[in-house]
Amino acid sequence: MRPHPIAAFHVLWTKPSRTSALGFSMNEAELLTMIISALMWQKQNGTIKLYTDNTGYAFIKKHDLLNLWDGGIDTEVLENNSYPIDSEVFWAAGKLLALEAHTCPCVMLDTDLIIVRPIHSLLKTTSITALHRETLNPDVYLNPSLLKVPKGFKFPDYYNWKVLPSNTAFLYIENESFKTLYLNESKQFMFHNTGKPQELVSQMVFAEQRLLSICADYRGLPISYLLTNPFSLSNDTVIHLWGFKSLLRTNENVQAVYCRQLIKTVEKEISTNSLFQHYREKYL
Amino acid sequence: MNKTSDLGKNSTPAISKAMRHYIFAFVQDSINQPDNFERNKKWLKGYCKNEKLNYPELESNLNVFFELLEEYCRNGTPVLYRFLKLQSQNCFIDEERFDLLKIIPGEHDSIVEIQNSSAHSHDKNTNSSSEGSGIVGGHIIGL
Repeated sequence: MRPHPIAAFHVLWTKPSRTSALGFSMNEAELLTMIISALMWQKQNGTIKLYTDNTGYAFIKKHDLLNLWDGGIDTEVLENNSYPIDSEVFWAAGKLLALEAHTCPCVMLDTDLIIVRPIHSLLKTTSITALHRETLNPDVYLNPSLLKVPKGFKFPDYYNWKVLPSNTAFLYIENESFKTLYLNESKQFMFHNTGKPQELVSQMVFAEQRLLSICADYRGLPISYLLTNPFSLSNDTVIHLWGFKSLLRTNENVQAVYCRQLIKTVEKEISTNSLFQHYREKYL
Repeated sequence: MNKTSDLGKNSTPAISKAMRHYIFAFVQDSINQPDNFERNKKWLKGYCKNEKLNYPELESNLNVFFELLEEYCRNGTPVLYRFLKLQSQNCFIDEERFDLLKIIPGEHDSIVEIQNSSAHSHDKNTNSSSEGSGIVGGHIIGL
């Protein structure tokens, strides 16, 4: 019997890059990774939807990808949101806005992450699953006394600052109750929090990744992980570009080799898809 | 539960041993004697014609290989070494022959099993403690 499909979503929130000098763009390797991420999810695990804004929609349309997501494309959630969130500070907040709109159980999947095999059995026994634990690097996960916070904000006493953050490039949440707690805490921290972090990431990773673990700890819910450590060679489930995107952006040769290799790897799984065929013809 | 996939099966076309040997000799000579490059390319084109091998495609792959090699020689990044090795396969150079090119591997290769992933990138599109030099699951696609 075919397992029950798992509903996932991608998020393409262009607002943070639209306000930066470089503007919004995706290189071919990033685009191909997103396409294969969506196709492999549909092939192996379930349905997938895209949350984006009008600029993202125009970009997707320009690349003839409007039919990529079998769960459809939503622009309302991100385009019409009026939360007081500074997109420069909280550049991944679009993911949390989409998570708020999406019904649990669901998977939030980054567009640079590909799940290459069925994971129904892994998720069946958990209420929260993230990609992997993060180390408490003090330059990224700042001491609470150094984190920039909204005016008058105070961290609750029950926060356990010793729990390890969770990488949320993949995040499965089973029930609405935990999702609501996590997002409420996150929003309280993000709203009117406009102080710019020197290291670019600290407020965002606190709101998204550290708070997830803190909230799970508070509720007494264990978090499962797809990977025990990100670079384990025994990983047969996940391809994640992660920090490698910066090299891909600056090196076209690396990009070409990566795209070709990725296509060769997955072509037997999704070769009949017409969107994929276009890239296959280009690179192989 | 679905079947296990056939991910990563290679689909490189077969060519003769002699052609493989010639391509390798071409690459080796181009590295050691860059002045012979253009002349050797003409010969390579001729060999490809005899072998019915797509020369423009091979040339394009070789160009990528040489450009990666040049970059690797400049900065010695381990990840570029892996891409170079991978690209050599697209040029019909197997691992054994690649080693004969005597390109020294970069140090601290991040593809090895590591227990701590805290080397971090401050790329703001990267959440967050990221090993900047590798792809998570890169081995699944042959890296």
